[in-house]
Amino acid sequence: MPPALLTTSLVNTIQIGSLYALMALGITLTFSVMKLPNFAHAEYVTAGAYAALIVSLSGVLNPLVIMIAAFAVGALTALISHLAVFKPLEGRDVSFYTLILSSFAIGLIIRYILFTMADYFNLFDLRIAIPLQILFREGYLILSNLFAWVVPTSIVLVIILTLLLNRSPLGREMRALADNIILARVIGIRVERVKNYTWLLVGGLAGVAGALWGLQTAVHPLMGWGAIISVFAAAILGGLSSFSGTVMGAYVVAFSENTVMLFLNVNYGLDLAFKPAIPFIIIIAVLLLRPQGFTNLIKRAGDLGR
Amino acid sequence: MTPLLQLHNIRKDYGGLRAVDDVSLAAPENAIIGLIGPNGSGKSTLIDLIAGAAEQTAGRVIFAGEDISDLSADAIFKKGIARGYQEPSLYFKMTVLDNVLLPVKDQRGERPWYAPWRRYWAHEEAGHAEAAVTVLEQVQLLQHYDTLASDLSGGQMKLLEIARCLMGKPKLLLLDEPTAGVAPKLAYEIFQQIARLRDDYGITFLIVEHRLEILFDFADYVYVMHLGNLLAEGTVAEIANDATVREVYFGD
Repeated sequence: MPPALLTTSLVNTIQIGSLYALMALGITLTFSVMKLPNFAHAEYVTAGAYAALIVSLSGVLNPLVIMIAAFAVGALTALISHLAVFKPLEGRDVSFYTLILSSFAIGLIIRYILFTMADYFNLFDLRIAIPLQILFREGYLILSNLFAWVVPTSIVLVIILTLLLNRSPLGREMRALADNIILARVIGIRVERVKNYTWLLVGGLAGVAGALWGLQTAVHPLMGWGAIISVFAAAILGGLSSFSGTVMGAYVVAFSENTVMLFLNVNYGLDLAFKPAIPFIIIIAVLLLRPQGFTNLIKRAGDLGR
Repeated sequence: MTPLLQLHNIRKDYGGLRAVDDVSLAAPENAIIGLIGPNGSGKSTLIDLIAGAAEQTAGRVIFAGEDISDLSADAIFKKGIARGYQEPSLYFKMTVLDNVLLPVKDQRGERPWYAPWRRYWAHEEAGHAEAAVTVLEQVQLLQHYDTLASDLSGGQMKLLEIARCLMGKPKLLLLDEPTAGVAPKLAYEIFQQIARLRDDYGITFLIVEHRLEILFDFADYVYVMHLGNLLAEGTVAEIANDATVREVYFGD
């Protein structure tokens, strides 16, 4: 593989992998704390991207303001989907499969609300209006200001979330819910409140991921949905419980989709159209061969937040 | 003085099975009340009913002069009734300190807008940690504060459960076999701690226990259940010499 392609694909791996990590941690958290594989997570990402786009189109180009708007919109979308659908369903003691299907349904509803909105205001395939600059150029390695935004922001947020889970009272309660929710009720933890807070965090992080994504590709109502399988593959690699495993999983998936795919394309002529198959292959392989994913590679890695 | 806890004609049916039949009892403040009886006599069910983990078919539960019969488990906990379980029910992946800090109400650091910024809640957390240190000292687990709960001995797990209950400053503690699976010497120590908590902190205990030889050394009053009915009640001396109790319970 030509070194220029290799370098570009590795840069892409890091950039996309960081975004996947941010999204997949949300999946891992919802699955652990709420016992829900939430496919509507994709739409919190898209909602955040649109929030960022609209703020940037209104003339505000301060990336911090854009991120905060995306966080707020993602958080609210997640909280509303919980309060309007998941919570009432849990109250009726429905099965796991009903919850999964309802998450698909909520995703569809949000997605097509966004479609309608995008259609009405003509917001298809626009980029968040921060101009592209080359910050660093050395041989084949080209780093843009987008890279400088996406990667550090994702990594810092992942670190903050990990610290929050392991060090703060909120994290302690979230871990308790993940471990044994009945006991949490018994000892007087306000379970519903902790769940609401978890939804705010999960949705907010998804929203920021959407905004960061909208910096590098065009914003479209399907963008979150298009990534959800890759994101789930990353979370499944993390055993749906381990933070370190999920982050590793995110980079593995991004590496497979970018570098490995390109390698197969250049050397064996595999059509790039096969790229969407990669996360499916990873999911099937993990579930068949090592269902616990990357957990237990290090001590207590199966515990939430580690 | 009115008793702290009163049960009036409690009945519980599971389908056709009557687990508890017309049980009335009273627990005065600042006492250790024993609840004994053969397996399946309805003791644990009664504990569940008081704690709100199950709903009685008939009867009233009065706590501190207030009818708590229809309150949720959470609301009953807030009124000041905490409970321990037969199986140690702890967060085994967490440290001893985390386990006692979990039930603390209204922590600033549990709000997501404060949680990431330590300086907003560190001071408050230090206060809670101080309270936690006190209760861990009360049950003599302080030196293990940073141990994972799963690494404790069976007896220590029981004590940790009691310590966690104490964080809620309960008036009444319901304990289901606090010495199950614990070596005799340690079982005795657990009861010594319980007696100390009664004397020093005025906590009332309602304890289901099979180890009568230990319970009888500490209980102020004992209720005996058999097949869902209240068979006898009285002081330890009265129960130990009761002919009917000896017949169904000891089989002689």
